[in-house]
Amino acid sequence: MDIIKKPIITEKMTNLGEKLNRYGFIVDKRANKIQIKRAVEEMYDVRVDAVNTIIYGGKSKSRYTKTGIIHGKTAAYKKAVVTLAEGDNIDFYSNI
Amino acid sequence: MQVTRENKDDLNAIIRIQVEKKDYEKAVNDKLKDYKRNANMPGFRPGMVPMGMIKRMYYKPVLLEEINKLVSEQLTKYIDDEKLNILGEPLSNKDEQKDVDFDSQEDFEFVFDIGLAPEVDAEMSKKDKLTYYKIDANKKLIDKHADSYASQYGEMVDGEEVQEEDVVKGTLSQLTSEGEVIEGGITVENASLSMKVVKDEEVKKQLTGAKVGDVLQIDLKKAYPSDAELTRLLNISKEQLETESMLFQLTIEEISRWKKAEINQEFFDKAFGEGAVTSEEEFRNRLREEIERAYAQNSDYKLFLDLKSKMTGKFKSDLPEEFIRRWLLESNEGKLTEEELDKDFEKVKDNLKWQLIQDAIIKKFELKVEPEEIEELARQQVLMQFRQYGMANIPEEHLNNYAAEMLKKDQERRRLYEQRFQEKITQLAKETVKLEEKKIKEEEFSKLFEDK
Repeated sequence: MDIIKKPIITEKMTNLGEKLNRYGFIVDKRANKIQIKRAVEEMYDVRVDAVNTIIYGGKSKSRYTKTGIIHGKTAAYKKAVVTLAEGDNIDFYSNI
Repeated sequence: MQVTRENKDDLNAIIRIQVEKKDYEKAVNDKLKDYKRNANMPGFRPGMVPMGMIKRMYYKPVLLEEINKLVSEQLTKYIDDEKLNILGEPLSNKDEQKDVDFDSQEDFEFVFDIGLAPEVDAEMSKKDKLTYYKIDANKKLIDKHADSYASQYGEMVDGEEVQEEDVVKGTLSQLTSEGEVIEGGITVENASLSMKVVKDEEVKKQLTGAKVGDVLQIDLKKAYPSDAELTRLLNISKEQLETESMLFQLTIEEISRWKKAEINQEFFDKAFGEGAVTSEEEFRNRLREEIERAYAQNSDYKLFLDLKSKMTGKFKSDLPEEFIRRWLLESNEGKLTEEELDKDFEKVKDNLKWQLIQDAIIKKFELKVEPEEIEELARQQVLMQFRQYGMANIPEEHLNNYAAEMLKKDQERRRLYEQRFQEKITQLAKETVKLEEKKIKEEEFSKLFEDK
């Protein structure tokens, strides 16, 4: 099971990172905070102070087409906001 | 941040400046934030570029700039606070300055060499003797001056016969080589030929003594070797000069002569105003005064030069030569080679010495130059410049504008200050030093300058 799926890179998260040293990730829904903490520490070589998680439910979407109504559903996912210990930081833009 | 000084000897010292991270951190961050606010990068909205990106792009140059600023500020402040009288500028010490790596280091140490100015004794007293050369306004000089006055107030008169410096007016018509007037050839009416411009002796002889109404044959090509002169006179193009015959017939219609004013009451009134000068003796006295006034400036300058060489001669302390040499080489990098410096080093040293002495004199005798004086001086110089172009009446407003324009340039202003100080020092020297007045002829005086 891959715990960290991808980092969340948005203006909102950039601001959080700069002001509060918090970084957001999309993580596997089954992962708990302890596992997330360990995974982030390992991957970015930083110390994690706290982890907050949110589970977003998928939304049902429907579209009207010539062939009838198409029903669908967006995926549910788990978001983790990781607060790093003071002095540590993650630079998502370092390899651009 | 720590600034320390080690004196190596009386003339050389080392200043160490230690810079820690906290000294520059805030300034650098503020600067980076400023960059972030204005950064415009594809992929991000303006001002929304992440700090990490900004840091990666600008951190090092900003750091360098801030540290540079900080160090030079501290250095100047230290020199000011400690009232150090330094020569030249501080130079980076080659032996003790460690390599600085801005990527990995956070604390830096900068080491500078400074050259200290020795104590200068700016003593001027009656014990010092200088000669003040006064130019003797002798008869010859006055005559010359009177002559120039006379010709300035002269007038044009008609002459009977052509003489050395006259202007001949008449009609020029082109001739064939056989001496016949070409019909439809080049004719110039009211052409004026100045005898001063005619170069050829033969033509000159031909013209001299000619009277109004005389008809002469002149080879203009011979008379005027300069093409520009000819094209203007005949009003033709340069190409025509090559092809056309230059043999012309001159019919003299008028002879004009610049006649000098006669030395009489009328002339005195014109030159100096009604009734100011009433006799030739008074006129000559007046000229003598004028000449002496004009030369007084030169006399002062000579005195200044003498004072300069005397004071630099008296200057016994040593200068940090090694340092000065390095400073000059480094500050004029590429423009000055070692050999050139070796050649001029004595002169440079003397100049430096004088600079020190001058500063000491200014300090000791509390000489001051007020900004108003400089403005006045600038105005005078502007006026002088206009006079050279023959414009004597400049509106006050114009003058002020030009002077202000002049003062805006740093270099000009420094020059004016320098000049004013020079005048003041000369004035001071006149009062404090024992002066021996000596009358001298103008030629001998000029020679004094040549010897230098």
